[in-house]
Amino acid sequence: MLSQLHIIPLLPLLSAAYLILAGRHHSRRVVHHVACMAVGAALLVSADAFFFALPALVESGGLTDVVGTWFASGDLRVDLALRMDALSGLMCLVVTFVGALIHIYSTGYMAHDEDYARFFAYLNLFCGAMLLLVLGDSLPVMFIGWEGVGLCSYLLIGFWYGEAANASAGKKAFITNRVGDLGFLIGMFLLFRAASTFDIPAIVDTARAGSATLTATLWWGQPVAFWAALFLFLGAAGKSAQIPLYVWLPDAMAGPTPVSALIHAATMVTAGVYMVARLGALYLLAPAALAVVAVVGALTALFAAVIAFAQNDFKKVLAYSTISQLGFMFVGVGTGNFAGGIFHLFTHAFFKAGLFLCAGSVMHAMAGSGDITRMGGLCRKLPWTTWVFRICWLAICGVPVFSGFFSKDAIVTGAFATEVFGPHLGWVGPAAGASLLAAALGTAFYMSRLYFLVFTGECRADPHTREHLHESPIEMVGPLLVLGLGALLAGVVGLPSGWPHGDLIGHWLAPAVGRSLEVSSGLEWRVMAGSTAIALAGIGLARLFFGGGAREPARRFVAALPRLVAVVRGKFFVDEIYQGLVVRPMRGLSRLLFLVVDRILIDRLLVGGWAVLVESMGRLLRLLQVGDVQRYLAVFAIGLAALVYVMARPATPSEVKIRVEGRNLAVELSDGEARPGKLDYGFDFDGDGREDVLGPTPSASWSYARPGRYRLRVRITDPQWNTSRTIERSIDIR
Amino acid sequence: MPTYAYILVSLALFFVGTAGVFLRRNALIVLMSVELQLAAGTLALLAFSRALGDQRGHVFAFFVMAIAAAEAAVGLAVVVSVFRTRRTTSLDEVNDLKG
Repeated sequence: MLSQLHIIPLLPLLSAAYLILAGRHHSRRVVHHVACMAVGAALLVSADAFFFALPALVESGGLTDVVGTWFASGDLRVDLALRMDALSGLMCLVVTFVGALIHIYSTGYMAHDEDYARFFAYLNLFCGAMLLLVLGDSLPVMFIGWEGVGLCSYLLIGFWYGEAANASAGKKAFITNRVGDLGFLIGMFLLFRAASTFDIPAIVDTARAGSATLTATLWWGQPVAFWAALFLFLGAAGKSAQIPLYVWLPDAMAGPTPVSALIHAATMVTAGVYMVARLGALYLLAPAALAVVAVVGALTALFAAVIAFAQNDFKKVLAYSTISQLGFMFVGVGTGNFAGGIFHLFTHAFFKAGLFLCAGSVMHAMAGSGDITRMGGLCRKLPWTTWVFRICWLAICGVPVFSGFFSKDAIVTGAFATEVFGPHLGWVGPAAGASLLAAALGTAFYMSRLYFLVFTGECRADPHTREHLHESPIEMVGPLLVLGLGALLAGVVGLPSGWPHGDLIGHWLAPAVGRSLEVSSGLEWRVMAGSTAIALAGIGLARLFFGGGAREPARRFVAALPRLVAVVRGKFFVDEIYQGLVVRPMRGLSRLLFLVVDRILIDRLLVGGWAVLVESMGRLLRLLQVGDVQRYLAVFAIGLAALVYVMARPATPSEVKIRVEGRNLAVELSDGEARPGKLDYGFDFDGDGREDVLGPTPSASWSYARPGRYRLRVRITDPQWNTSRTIERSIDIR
Repeated sequence: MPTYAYILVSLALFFVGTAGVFLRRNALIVLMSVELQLAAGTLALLAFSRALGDQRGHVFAFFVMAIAAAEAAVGLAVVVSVFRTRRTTSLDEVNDLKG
């Protein structure tokens, strides 16, 4: 069914355009009203489409909106088409809902910023691009959104560009994402070569049918589907901060906190998960690629959780936590449990956005500092923030009843029960599930460490800061409470399938991503009990170490294993390794190219070389310019004489007709242009230099005595001026 | 007198004039040599005109004389102007076009 879906991304995009062009001339009130209303209206339109128009059509592919043909070439036609099906509708709702809340929050958080209009313009632009990514019906349209959110991420990380560190964090994010985007492009073109279409539904249908175009072997014995899926996953790993391209996300915390909440926690970084789920059928066709997704997700979940143990910056801890949770989602989609992955994406959007906004609220109170070693005891000064943080903390730890508990369990259960890998790769599911349980323990530990260090015990801030501690204004606390409520309740959409109203999200998403796996309730209960125990163990351990500030066991642990702690605190020195392996050689190569190719080859030889050539030719030609009028005159006279000679020559005949009959040859010339006076024609047929026929007639004939190759030479003379011209032809006589 | 005699005189005059234009160094003499060339041309025109019985040659001779007068006027003005600025009329010393 056709609809007006394009309004959804268009509203924030128009608002962004307006704020970029005219925002400076308006007051803060006008700016944030325009920005918030654009996103709010997008939320209303998408909610209207999602709740009223979509349910009737969800089985038949959802709502579509073809705005027009974007480009067409030969058989290829790419439409600027949008589609809202079960999956993209849900994402659309998450993006606009969280986006609207964070716009409202930003009016408080950024209230004193100089560049108010620019911030909201970028935020709007981000929402528009993200909605385009989500709703795009073909890979190129999705790619526009994909690049658009990357651009906004770059712009917003470097929002406070006055500090070099922020600007270089932006560049790091952008460049790392480019590596992934290259993978996305390659995957997209591989798919196009195989399926000759960019339309996502067409690709999904081809994959579901198991078409031979996708299962044909491409390289190293693996099918097209595997390589396309693998390259697309490289793009997803860049955007969603997975090993090996996760390094940009912790640095991205240089941006304003609402940006971290919206872009680097709730929406943009989940685009990779969304993309894999959207193309789920393709991944199911290539279990090996699915295994890569699951393994990378599991490793990232564990690795990032471990790094988060030793970070002392509020937002850095949350950043590594985001990377780890994205790993959970990738295990979800990587074990064919697409609904589970999207469910965790959904709940994560609430509790992680909530956590980041709490971080913003705390940093607002702490005068911008995010150092958790200088915090403590904030629960008394920031009661609302503390309560929301408690809910989100318990949600991310996976304590029962809270939303994260259900979504995390859906993923872990799915990983243990999955059958998508077949016999050879059967170990991947359980291995990923086990490492997720370990990561869940880590998650509970580092999040509880964060909670205890920030909110409990004595305040370790300096007296001046301590005096100014205050709860944030209503426009910041309001969105916090809404997100806290979401973090508490969002789990109800994905209760285990055996329960009443169980697995609503799985049933809802089934038309888009396929039916979810039937899991035995025994396994479900075991996983639930295990993960509850793990969550409580993590929290208990953290309380033992950090309850009310760093305690004796924590100090003893650091004293006992100083090396290990230093390595974890140094983030396993991955940044340094990349610096050595990638950045330095790249810089060296660039420098070499600059010195050899640019400086020597281009500047010296090509640019300078041409200049030298032209100059030396000019120097030579200068010798002719002697400045003596009489010599000029002599040259002029010679030139005139040459001109007269050339002009006086007879014109070339326009046509030379040569007929050979046996040994007889007939030549006929037709005059090139009519000219007064008679011409003389001399014909030399045998090439001996003597003219055999001479006269004013332009034709002659001759008969040869012997066969062979002869040279025919015709001399045309103008008797008036005694000038002539010669035509030569070679003649074969048989 | 036969026509070729006039033509011979005309040729001789033209070559004298040309030699003067190319070889003399004084701008005034060069101008006079140009006049000589023009006179040679006029003579040839008149000779052919008489030989062919065609009056157009005579008409042309008047044109040539008019042009010669104009050329002399402009040329002399230039020479006077050059002499005023440089105190010389030697063409060897007027070589500002040298590259």
